[in-house]
Amino acid sequence: MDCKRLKSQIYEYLDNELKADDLQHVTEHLSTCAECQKMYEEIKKNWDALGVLPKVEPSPNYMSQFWSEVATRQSIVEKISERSRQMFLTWKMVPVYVSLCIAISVFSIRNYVEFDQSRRIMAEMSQDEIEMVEYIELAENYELIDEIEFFEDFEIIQNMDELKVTQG
Amino acid sequence: MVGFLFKDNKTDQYLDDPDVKLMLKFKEEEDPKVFEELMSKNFSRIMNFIYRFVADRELAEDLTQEVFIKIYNSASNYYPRSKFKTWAFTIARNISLNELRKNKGATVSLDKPFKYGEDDISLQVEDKTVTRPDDAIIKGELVDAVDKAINELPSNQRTAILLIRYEGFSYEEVARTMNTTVSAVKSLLSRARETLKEKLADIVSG
Repeated sequence: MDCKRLKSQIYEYLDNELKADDLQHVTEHLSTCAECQKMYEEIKKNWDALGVLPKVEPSPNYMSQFWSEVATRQSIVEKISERSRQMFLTWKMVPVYVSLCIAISVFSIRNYVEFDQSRRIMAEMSQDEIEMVEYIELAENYELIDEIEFFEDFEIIQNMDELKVTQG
Repeated sequence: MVGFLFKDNKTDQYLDDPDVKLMLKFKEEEDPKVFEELMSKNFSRIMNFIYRFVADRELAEDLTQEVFIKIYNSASNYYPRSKFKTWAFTIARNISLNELRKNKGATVSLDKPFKYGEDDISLQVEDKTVTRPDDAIIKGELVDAVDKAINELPSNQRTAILLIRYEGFSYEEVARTMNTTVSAVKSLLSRARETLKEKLADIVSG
């Protein structure tokens, strides 16, 4: 092993990350090359120096604090679910739910009746009449679209190129 | 209930991890004492890791509580997909980085160097190989210099250095914790070491 290769593996050697054969080569080289040995000692000195950092300790009651925090959060969740249960699952809410059900039913029935009526009318109409109705609907849609300002702008955007040519 | 969907060979390889066993035991039995055992084994090291980001003892303890609350809440759906420590430190790292984002620049401990000799601090590693100057002032200077040098590292480099130097993680474990590759970890460590070497050159050599 040469010094260049050792240099590339020195940190992995320090971190015990080398495979057995590489480890053997590095160990052998370090025992014979004074310069690499010196470099390794320098690196190790720096690495060891990081070990002086002080350590903080948790408070003696950290465990009980944890359980009380868990209990607090659980009680908050329970309170919220209890409150929503109280809010939505009480006799007071029955009229609201009944009114909602009636409104939905009335709306559905009305829609169904309207749909059924138009289906019957269509069934009685001839093919020409159906086409005419469709044309009228189409014309009404065009009128509506024409009134929307966005499409006016869209027309300008579409004609931008022509405008540029004219300006040029 | 849906455990069989997730159960695979990858899951089995982590079953030897004692902390994974504890998590599974807690999931099964819901015995608080099992969770307390897990906490007592890991609380202090996670708190110290977070402390290196937020530089505030109380805040570090609160955030560590947060880490364990997340672990506690996910116990009912827990399936081991990594070693316990890589999972826990991933949560700790995310919480620390969120805290840093919340208080940009306010939590770096440059203005608050460690007061050596305070009651609540002790040495991180009883490292017999460290040359210890007898003079407490020189020792205090070294502590301040190392603290400052580590605090000034970008958060990714800092995470890698902390996990390797103080937690004894392998490159593979750091990569999993940081959700990156082993070669990216090597590169982060190499840059961090170069910076630390430059910043500590005077005090360590001297």
